Amino acid sequence: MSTISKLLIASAVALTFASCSDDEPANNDGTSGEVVLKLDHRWNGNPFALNQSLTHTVNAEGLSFTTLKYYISNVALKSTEGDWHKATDQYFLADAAQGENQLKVKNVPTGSYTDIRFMLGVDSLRNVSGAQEGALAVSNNMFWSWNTGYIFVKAEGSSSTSNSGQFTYHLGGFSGPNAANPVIELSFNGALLEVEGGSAPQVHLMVDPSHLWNGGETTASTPMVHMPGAKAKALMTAFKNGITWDHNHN
Amino acid sequence: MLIRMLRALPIFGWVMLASCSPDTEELGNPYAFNPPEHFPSPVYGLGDQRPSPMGFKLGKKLFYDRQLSSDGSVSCGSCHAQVHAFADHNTKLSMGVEGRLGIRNAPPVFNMAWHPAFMWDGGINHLELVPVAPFTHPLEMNLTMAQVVQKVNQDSSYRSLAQQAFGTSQLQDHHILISLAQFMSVIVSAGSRYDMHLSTGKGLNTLEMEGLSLFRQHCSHCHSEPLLSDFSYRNNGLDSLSEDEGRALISLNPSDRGRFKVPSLRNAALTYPYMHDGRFMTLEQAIAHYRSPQATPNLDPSLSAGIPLSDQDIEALVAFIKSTTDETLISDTRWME
Repeated sequence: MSTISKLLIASAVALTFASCSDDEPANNDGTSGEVVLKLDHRWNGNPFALNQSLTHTVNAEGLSFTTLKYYISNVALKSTEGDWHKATDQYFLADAAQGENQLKVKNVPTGSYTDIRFMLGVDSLRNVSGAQEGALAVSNNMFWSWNTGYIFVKAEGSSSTSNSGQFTYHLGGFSGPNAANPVIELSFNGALLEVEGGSAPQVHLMVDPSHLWNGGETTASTPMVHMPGAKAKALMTAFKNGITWDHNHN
Repeated sequence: MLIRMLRALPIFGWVMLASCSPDTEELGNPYAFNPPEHFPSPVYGLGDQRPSPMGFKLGKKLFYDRQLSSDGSVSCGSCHAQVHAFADHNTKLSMGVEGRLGIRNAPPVFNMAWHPAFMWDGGINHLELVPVAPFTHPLEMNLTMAQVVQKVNQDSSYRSLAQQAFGTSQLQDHHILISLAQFMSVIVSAGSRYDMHLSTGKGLNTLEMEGLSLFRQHCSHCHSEPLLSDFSYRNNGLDSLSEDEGRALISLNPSDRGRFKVPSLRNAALTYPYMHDGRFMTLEQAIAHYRSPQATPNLDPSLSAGIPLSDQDIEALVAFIKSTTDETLISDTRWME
């Protein structure tokens, strides 16, 4: 038997064990803790809310959002030793309707961290593995029924300049040239995030949806995107650029 | 969730099944998924996807439940009828809620565990996600998945099945989708005279044997044996410019325009009309089309010169295709409404 086969069987056995356990891995044994990812929605530095009248600073379009939802997954933190610690199997659906979102990232090993990275969207594996649950449940309406895949960012609202009076962005795409699930890596700029057994330190991020239209798109030129492709990729990149680190609370 | 990531490795799936499943009665279980020996390895239905009897029963109840449409008029079984090998009742297009007509011919539902992707354009990449499309399409069942979940949980007749299948009385959408996938995966069609021929060398008469020989010469390049499809996407020259973008709708590649998934020809005598739009009513018409396909930029290279077929050849091919009709598929009470 090859070493690879042995390893695979060993991991299968390990996974079997893990999958049969009813208990959540303990959080309070002192070796891991929780990190709260706080998402604060801003419009060009000002507080942002759904159904609020907005003006875009670059293209001067008048807008209002009715929906802003997006997936965050594959969160990892970089330790002071330079290793990335991944919080696997945790998927989060952020929703601006809830105001400030607090995503609870569990099972982060205790330690000091200097950077964070996460995927804006859902990795390709979860897009090809059938019916999922929790944040990835199909009934969350962040899913294309006719062309399997998650909608990574859903932004909808009204616009004074689009022909229909609306904009509808359903952005996603997980495979090949249409992959639109960028990984965002943000430094804490010298600050440390201290994860200890009992505490839940916070990483405070700013999410500015005005960036959707900072890359050259407007709601007049692109009122609707409802499938993967070049437009979805461009808008995902633009949205990604609107996510920044602000500060931590230990 | 970890289990599901290993689904491509059936052996490890078995390891987990052995260690996790409370259901130890796999042998002799009439709802077990039993891949026929003369079929290749399935894509779905082994390891952690192996159907359980209760999952199958729950899936069957869901499949035939008309409540799961916005006006209560149609179930999955309305357009996927057992007597027609789980295709529609010989209509070109299918009727959804409030008499709305769909946009493509309803494909039959059997041997689904071997399909790498679903629908005419292959837009759906997993059997468990297939039901989401008809449930939520405004021309079909016209519900949200949240409404489907709500309707199922409000119906107390689901509770004991739900409890037995998943250990909960409140089903979530993934339970519903997994049950339907389990039900569909167990619907295997491998009981035709053609199958008998593959297994024993007997079962086909002279004309059917002549048809099989022609089939292997001209057709099995795409309609590969034994499933009678290679599940690729091809343009068979129906139109010089296909109105339906077909595979290009999914791939966004213009060279995929007018390409559709090669359908299995098993049970085709029961599933007329033919093609993605149901334009041909008879097998003779469908086969005769291949004599002179329309010239189109994406035409499959194997069809560029057409297939020279005499009327006699077509008669033999039709006889062969009819030998793939599986009487057990259309009479089996396990999946009967």
